[in-house]
Amino acid sequence: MSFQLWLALRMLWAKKSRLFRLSTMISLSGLTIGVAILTVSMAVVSGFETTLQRSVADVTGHVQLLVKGANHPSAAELEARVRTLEPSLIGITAFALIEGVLAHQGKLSGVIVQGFDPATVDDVLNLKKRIIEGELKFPALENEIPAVIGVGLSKNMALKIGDTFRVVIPLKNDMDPTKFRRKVSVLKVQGILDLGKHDYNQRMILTPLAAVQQMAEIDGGRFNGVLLKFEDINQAREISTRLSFTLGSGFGVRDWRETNENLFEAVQIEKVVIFFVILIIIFAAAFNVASSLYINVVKRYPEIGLLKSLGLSQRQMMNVFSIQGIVIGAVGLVLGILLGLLLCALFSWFELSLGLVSGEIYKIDRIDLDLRIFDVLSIAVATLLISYLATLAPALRGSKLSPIEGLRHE
Amino acid sequence: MSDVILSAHKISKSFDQGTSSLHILKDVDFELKSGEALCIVGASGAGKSTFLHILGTLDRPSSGNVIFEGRSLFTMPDEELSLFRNEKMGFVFQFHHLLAEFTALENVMMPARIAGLSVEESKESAMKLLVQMGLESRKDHFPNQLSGGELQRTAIARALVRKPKILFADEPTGNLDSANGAIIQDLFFHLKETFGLALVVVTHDPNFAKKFGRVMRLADGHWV
Repeated sequence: MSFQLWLALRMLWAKKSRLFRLSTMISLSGLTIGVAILTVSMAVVSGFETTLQRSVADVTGHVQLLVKGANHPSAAELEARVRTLEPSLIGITAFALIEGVLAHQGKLSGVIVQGFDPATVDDVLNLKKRIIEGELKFPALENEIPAVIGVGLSKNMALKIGDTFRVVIPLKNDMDPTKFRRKVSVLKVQGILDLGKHDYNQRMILTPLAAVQQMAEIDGGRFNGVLLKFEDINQAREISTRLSFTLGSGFGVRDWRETNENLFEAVQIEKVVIFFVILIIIFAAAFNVASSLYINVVKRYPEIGLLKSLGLSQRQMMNVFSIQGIVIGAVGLVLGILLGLLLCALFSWFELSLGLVSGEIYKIDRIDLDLRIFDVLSIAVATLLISYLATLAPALRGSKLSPIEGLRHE
Repeated sequence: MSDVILSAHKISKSFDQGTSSLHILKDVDFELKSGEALCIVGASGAGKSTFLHILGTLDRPSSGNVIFEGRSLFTMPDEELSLFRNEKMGFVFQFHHLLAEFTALENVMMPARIAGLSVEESKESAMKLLVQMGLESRKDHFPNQLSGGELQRTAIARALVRKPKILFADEPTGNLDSANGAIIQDLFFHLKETFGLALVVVTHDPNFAKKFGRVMRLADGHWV
């Protein structure tokens, strides 16, 4: 241990510093609370982002490739092309989307019916782990189409496993292009999914691709596009850009983030704003640390004078007091992060028990708190930097004291 | 003169008191030879301690300069002056000024640790001095567990740990009873011979002053 660190620590917790210790404890508490609040806030916002990202990726894959042109390739052809261009491709599944109205027991609800290829869907989407009731299986039924629905839709429409319901699809009227004709299909609930995102849960119905093609009378096995999964979700944007450039105008390409761009951007901005707003608490606490250190410096004039008479330089004296400030900051930081983790655990428990997160407001039904290393490092750097800056004034006062000025204070 | 190690030229010190100034020292000159023992005496308020502090660079003069082996001390930057003070000068004060939260050994080690010496080196030098001072058994005691004489001997050990060229002492026996005072007085002369130091002592005690080869008297800010 360096001499200056040793001296700083010995002087920090010495008996003479009782008043200093008391005031330090108070300012330390402020710092701890500030860091804890910042930790929880970052964990909540990051958790929100992660939960959103996970649910989007689970339901829409990493990249969506929409077929726009008249020339409609098969899923196998598309897979071959994408795999050649992007070797990190893990899975591909064709999908088709139609919008309709669900009618059940006199209630109506707008829905999205999404059809997947049951043979490949698990290669791309994580739907199995999101099943909360029933199963993700689509057996061939005689009169109904097997379907899996979002949990919100299940609650709103009072649909249980085994229930049947109708979905009305508006289709083009070949006789009169200004009008639509109704196509009614009967579906049977095979499973209920928690898709993580509120609007998915409220609107989503999943069925086999062939069923959607049948419901919407899509000819020739056509589909809207394919969902792709790659080795690294964080590369999705670059891959999406490359595919868009290479495949040309016959295809629309968008990554998981683009499907909810505004929401993700809002979360990012919110996170930065929250970080700096809560940092003000740490600033306030750091002023208390500065005032405690000032008390310490004033009470220690004789020791400062003596140490300087023994040859301690202004720089060394400055370092001793700065170390004290940083040590207080570091202790506050560690205690704050520990308290923050405890509060995160409590939050998770309350969330599970009481359902604190309202899906209608927050777009997701629950948050899995996520404390990221980068967030912890940002909190640590900001706290230590503020603590250090707070010590400069008292440290400068101590270091500028002349030896005899200090010794006269005995 | 080649054996002069410390000299002071036209040292003045005054303190502002609102509209007037209090002149403590007025154009005082001074020379100290290597290994010399010198005593400064004078009435209270004559400026003895102030002059000693300026010689030891603990305080700065209002004007004038102090030269050590040809180097002007008050033109040095703080880092260099602090190192110089640490290496070349030792101080003993009337009140021991030991650090209350550190043991006798740690107090004696302090100048060596400030100089950047390792714990082992500092401890070895400090222990040798504590043994010489007869304080070996008191090394782990804190200042509040030591007697007046022991405190002052610990302070002397601390002043010597960097093997300085000059030892400054400001009323070193002023706070001791006569028996302990006599021990400390003898110790100073013994150490001067052992370490080959120059000794500058400020005292009120005429019996102590008599033991010095050279005695200088300050009165009203001048030598008399």
